[in-house]
Amino acid sequence: MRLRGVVLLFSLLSAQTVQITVDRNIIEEGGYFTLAVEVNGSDDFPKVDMRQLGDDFEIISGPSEQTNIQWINGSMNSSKTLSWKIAPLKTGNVKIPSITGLIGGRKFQGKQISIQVKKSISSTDNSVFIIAEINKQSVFLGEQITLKYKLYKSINVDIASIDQFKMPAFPGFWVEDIFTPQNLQYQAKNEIYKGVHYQVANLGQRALFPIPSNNYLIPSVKIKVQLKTKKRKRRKDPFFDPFFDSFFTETKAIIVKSKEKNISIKSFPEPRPFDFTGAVGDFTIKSSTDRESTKVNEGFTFTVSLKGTGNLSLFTLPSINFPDGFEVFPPIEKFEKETFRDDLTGIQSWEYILIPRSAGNLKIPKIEMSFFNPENNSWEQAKTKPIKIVIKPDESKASLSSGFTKREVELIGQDIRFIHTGSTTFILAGKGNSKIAIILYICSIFIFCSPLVISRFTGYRLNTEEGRKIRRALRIGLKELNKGCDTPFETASRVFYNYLKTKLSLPSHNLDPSIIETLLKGKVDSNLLNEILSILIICDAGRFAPGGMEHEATLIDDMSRIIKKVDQELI
Amino acid sequence: MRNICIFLILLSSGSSEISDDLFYEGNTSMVQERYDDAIQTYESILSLGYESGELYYNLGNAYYRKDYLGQAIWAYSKAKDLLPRDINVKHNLEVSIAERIDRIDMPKPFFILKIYRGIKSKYNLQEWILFGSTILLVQAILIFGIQVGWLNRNFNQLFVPMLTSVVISIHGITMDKYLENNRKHTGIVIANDINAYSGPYFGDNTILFQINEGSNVDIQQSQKDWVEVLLIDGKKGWVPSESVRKLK
Repeated sequence: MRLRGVVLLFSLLSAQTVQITVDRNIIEEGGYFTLAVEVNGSDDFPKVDMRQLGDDFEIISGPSEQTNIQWINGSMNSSKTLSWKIAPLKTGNVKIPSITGLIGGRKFQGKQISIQVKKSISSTDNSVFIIAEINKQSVFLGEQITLKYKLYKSINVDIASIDQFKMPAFPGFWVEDIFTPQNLQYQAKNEIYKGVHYQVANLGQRALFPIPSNNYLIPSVKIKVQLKTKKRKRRKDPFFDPFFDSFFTETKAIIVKSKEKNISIKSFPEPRPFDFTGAVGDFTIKSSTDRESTKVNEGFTFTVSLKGTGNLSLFTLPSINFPDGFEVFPPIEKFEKETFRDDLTGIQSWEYILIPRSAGNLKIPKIEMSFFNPENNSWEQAKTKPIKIVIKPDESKASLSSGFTKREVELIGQDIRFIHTGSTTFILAGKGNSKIAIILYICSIFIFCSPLVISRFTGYRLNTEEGRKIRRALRIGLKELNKGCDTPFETASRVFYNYLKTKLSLPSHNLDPSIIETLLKGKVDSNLLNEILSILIICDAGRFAPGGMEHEATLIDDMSRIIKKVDQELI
Repeated sequence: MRNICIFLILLSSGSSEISDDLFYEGNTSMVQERYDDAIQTYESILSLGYESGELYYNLGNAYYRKDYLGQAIWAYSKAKDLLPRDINVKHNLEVSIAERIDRIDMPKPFFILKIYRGIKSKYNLQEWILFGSTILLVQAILIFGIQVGWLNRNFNQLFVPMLTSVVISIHGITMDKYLENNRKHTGIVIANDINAYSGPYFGDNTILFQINEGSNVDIQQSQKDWVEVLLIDGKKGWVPSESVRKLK
């Protein structure tokens, strides 16, 4: 029984008419009706803003457009229809307000249409419904919520078909697809909900990550379900055998809706680490190079891979400070998702191509990243080890490009030597151990000064030129005497005079016994002086006058004895 | 806890024996790769006022393992002052210098100057003083011997002038080394990416250049929290004083 209410026939100009119709005006709760705006004799579709329907209605689908062209008796008649499927949100008598719109620049207005919404008698409410299942109600920013839309169907209800399920938009969330079914499939196991067995179908599963926003809402979803209705048993009819019922079933359309859900966001514990860039989950980070050493201008790849569970694509790595010697190309980013898990898990990797421009022992610094682990409710840190890479100079241009000396090139890639493990002598900082040096200096000064002191207090003659002569005077004199000669008188006196002259440092060459007497008086014993004088007189006498030959034999011996004596006494 | 322990040891006695104990403790930490502990222990000996070449050398190794290149170069430089002929110190200093970022190439000095510097750096100041005083003592004994006549006078003509020139030149080198040690304040940069400003505060001063850890600098003057540094290539600028560790 289709009730068709012609609501309005509004004539504008000659041929343009607008009809606003509903396909039925008595429906059950959860049902829907179709609102159509049909225009005759127009080339354009009408423009209707459906927001004027108000809050009592909800558009399930539409507008769908339809064009009919008819030739009747040679004249063409075209009509264009816009239609919506609308579900009332209230029960009882609801009124569609008069609808206004534009057609070809002209305004049209319809009349109110009232719709009777009956409270459903049958328990269709509980036979089919949708639940948005979430694993957490309150989460941290960036923590994953797994959302699953589930269609529940009681066992004694058959679903003929359902409309294509469309995932709604989730404001305030970053959405990752976990599972989207191709067709309606029931789980092998029935679920019990509020004590009733249901068959359950998964309509789709999403990982939601809250991003900074004003509200976090999991919207309600609606889906139109065609239910098979049981026919009343007809009387036996040879043409309508119940066998054919399976081919010609009657269906009933209902709208099922899930409830809206609010998500509350927990705030992170303070203090936040300074290098937190929004990573929430559990991660490990690794870095590697494809080789350990390379040459100048020879590129290599540096890979950073982040493995773990969490909001992998929602944060960035802290920037890496490559050393100056590298030319860095923007990284290639890859994400390998691990399927078969509800939590978003995978490996995100960044592949850098680095070209060293100078030789040396270059170091790619460690990468540190803090993340929040919601499981432990704590801040954690993932970090890599720094990588050392040895850049050898390009042999062809070694002298040109690198500022390295030969020695430094040899040192590249070498490690330091081990610590000193033996004992050590500690000194007070800034004070050298100069005691020995001071002692040595004092000794030196003392030794320098000592000869002066010795000569001052003991009279010992220093080894000067004169001193040496004085000391040698006796030796030279005796030597000359012992040489022996033809003229003993002359020799003896000359030797004595010379001796005395050097011994006493006399300037004069003219010495005679009287001068000797005055010189030596008091310095030597008077007996010795007399002896000296007598022998000198003998010598003089022997030189200038004949005679005194009796002394000649003993003269030399006497003279040497006397000189020795004088020397002993003079000192 | 560790600091308290060290403090207690300090209170209980007060000699260089503590330093020896701390030195062995630091070495143990080094062997067990607890470099942070080792650094702390070695530095505590320095803060007691004691130093030794081996201590600086081991401290340099600890810093090197912790990737504090500037601190490592500082420690090795100090070690080299005290142990000028130690091949391990020389090697480690060269290895760490080869790793530093800033490279300033100096023109090669005149060869005589190079030889002179080589000889001068072969021995530390203490050794030069000891050397000079010993030679002076030898000369004093010789001259004494000649004066009292124990030695042939030939010594006087040949050895005395020679020894005198040796004594004078050694004392000249010692003096030069002493002045070098006292006149200049040098330091090692111990942090990376240090901006050198045109004045001793951040304000409107422009950034003149950047220096990285391990570079040798001359400290020209210092203000509160800032020092003016002169690089080997003649650049001058102000850097925060905590980014430079003084060698002298």
